[in-house]
Amino acid sequence: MASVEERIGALVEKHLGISDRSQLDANVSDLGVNSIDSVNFLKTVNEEFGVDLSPEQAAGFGTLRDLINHLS
Amino acid sequence: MSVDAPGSWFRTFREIDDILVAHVDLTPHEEREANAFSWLDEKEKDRLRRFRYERPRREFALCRAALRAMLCRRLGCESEKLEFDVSGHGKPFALVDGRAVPVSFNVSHSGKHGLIALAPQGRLGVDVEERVARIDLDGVSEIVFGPGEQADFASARGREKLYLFFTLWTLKEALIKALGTGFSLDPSRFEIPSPMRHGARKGIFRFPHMPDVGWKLEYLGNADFAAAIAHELDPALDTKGE
Repeated sequence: MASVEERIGALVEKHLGISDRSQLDANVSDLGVNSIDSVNFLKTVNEEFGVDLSPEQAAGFGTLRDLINHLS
Repeated sequence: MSVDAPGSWFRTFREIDDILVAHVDLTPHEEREANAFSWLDEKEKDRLRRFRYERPRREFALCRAALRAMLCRRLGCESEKLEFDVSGHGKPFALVDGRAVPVSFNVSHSGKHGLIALAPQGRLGVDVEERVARIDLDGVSEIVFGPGEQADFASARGREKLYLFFTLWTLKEALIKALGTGFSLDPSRFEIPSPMRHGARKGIFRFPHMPDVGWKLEYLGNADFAAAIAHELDPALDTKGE
């Protein structure tokens, strides 16, 4: 089975249009992702991993790596 | 450079009482972007360089330069005297000669459209969204809409569903931005007043957790985009139950 990082990387590419995996370590605020795309992405993460992360929890992740670590 | 100046990339969109709302054209345009960049101070240029992609760089430069021009006109100051800082939740505020100035503003952008709202006082939030079908409307609605909003959304069909989704989103986002908390406030815990979910463009809103504060809420959408503005009512004029 693919790793958490690979699965998140695939969702990031599909839903946020970011294919460069080095951006997983960038500050989310530097990626220019707007709030509606963020919530849409959060919904796909919840479905993919069978979790129920809220926007409030997601707002606490500074980078996508923080999200990967939370799910690992 | 000023609002409505010939050739500028922003113009007056609406004037609502003492609030000025400007529309910013975010279409890629090399000359405009270079002009906008020249308006930014060193801190803003550093911020611009930290963006990893061209689109957010363009959005930031064109909106921030337009905001600078609007604030300088309103405050009667030179751009060099104006700087910005951010609150704990990341909401920017303006300083002139290092001192916070009594003016409220908020900025939003989506696709080719930016909106900047400016008011003399009171917390202020604005949101604009292009109505794009790439979002999973049903999935996102379950996260951000309250029970009454979800029921209204579930009963809508086709184009009406798309429009209702973005109407509710922009109204809720404008309120969250006015409050200045970001998504540390769960958007499903408050609901847009029922008349505004059924076509009314204006209303008064109160958050359940802070009923003493009233917010003037208005939908500003048109055929090109959904948009909304929220402005804190002057406590001296706020008569509950009016």
